[in-house]
Amino acid sequence: MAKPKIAVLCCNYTNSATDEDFKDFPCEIVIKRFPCSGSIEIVDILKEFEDDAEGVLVCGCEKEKCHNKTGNLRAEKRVLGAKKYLEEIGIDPERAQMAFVPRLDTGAFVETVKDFVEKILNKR
Amino acid sequence: MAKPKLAYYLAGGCAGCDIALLDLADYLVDVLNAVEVVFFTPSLVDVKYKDFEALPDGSVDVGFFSGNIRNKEHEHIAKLMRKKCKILIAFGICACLGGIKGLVNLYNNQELLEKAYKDTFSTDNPDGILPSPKFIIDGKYELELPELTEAKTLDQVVEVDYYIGGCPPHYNHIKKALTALLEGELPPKGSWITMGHAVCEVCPRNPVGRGELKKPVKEVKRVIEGQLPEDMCLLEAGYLCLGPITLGDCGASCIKANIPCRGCGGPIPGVKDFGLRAISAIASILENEELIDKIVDPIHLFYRYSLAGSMLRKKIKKETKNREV
Repeated sequence: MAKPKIAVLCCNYTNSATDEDFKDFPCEIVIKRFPCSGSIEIVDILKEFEDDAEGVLVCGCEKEKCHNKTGNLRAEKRVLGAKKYLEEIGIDPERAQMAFVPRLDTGAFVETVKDFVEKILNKR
Repeated sequence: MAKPKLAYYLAGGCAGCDIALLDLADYLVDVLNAVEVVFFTPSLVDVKYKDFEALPDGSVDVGFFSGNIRNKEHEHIAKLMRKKCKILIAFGICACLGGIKGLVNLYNNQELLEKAYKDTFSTDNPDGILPSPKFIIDGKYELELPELTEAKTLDQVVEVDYYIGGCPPHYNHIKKALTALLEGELPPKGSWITMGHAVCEVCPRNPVGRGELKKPVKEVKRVIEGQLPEDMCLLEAGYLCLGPITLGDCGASCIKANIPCRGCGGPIPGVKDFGLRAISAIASILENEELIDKIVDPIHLFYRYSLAGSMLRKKIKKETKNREV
């Protein structure tokens, strides 16, 4: 059986993780990088669900650390918006989540992804 | 020179687009003199389907298709129009994106029929009779009704050349579109016939027009709560107006009548999915994230005119499929 797929949409400056970092994970991790988490649209999140992702994690920089001032706060509001839609169409809204991670810290990023993966896999 | 031939079909619509054509008033007389109407069903000309089928392929110059596709008959005529017409135009938001009637995709047909023919308070139907595709009267007369499908947009069934949004399209906009058609000044195929500006750009309440900056939205209210302000931006006052992402060919007519924009004009260029962009745009101008919870019923609000043509429509289908499996 194919491994479950988890999509991570992140700000380019949060990490420099490679496939190597996720090789022990029990699922397929797809990382998509954006110039800033503020440029992640709800369309991007739902598109991942359309492409059979089990969960979508949006990662932005920590609050007040965003290089573009409010990009991460915008991302947070958009994730909340996406959750509202997911709830309405009968998908568990917890499958989309926002996380604030330190800038340029791959270790912390991998930990956050790991927590999210565990949460999603527990739902199966 | 022979007059250009025109065909018009009303599918799953409310005939509002037909009335919008009538609103052209004296200009309509000029248009009708300049074109030859070969098919205008069911509202204007009594042309039978078989007569239209008998026309040679590609013989009609322009075809207008209004309303969404809701049954097999609509689908048949949509394919027929594509065959007969050189240019096929999705006329009105129903044909473009599914329209308000595209919201039926949130329910299944059986639920809808039960609701309409049994459960409503004012219905008097003691035998519980529901419409069915085949019906026999007195044991010999057979009546056949086209089978209901889910609501589809025109471009999900056939290829569409141009789109004209609006519920219905504003008559000034139709006038411009018809003039462009008759003069042959058309944009590239597959595009919306529009001036390309958002409602906010033509809205007299836009604070940017007065030289002020836009302020964040501090509260979220429904239209039934409180009194709508007469002069300030409705978004700033907390009423969720979709003007920022809707095409403004209507000239902001709803907002001039003190009603927030509901997005019937279709998405501005560059927007892939109207409802997603709408909640995205509205969410990012809210002052804090708690306000998002106050948005009641986001699908009916943001997808009011575009559910059938959106990404979510596919989602719902997929979900129900999964459940069946």
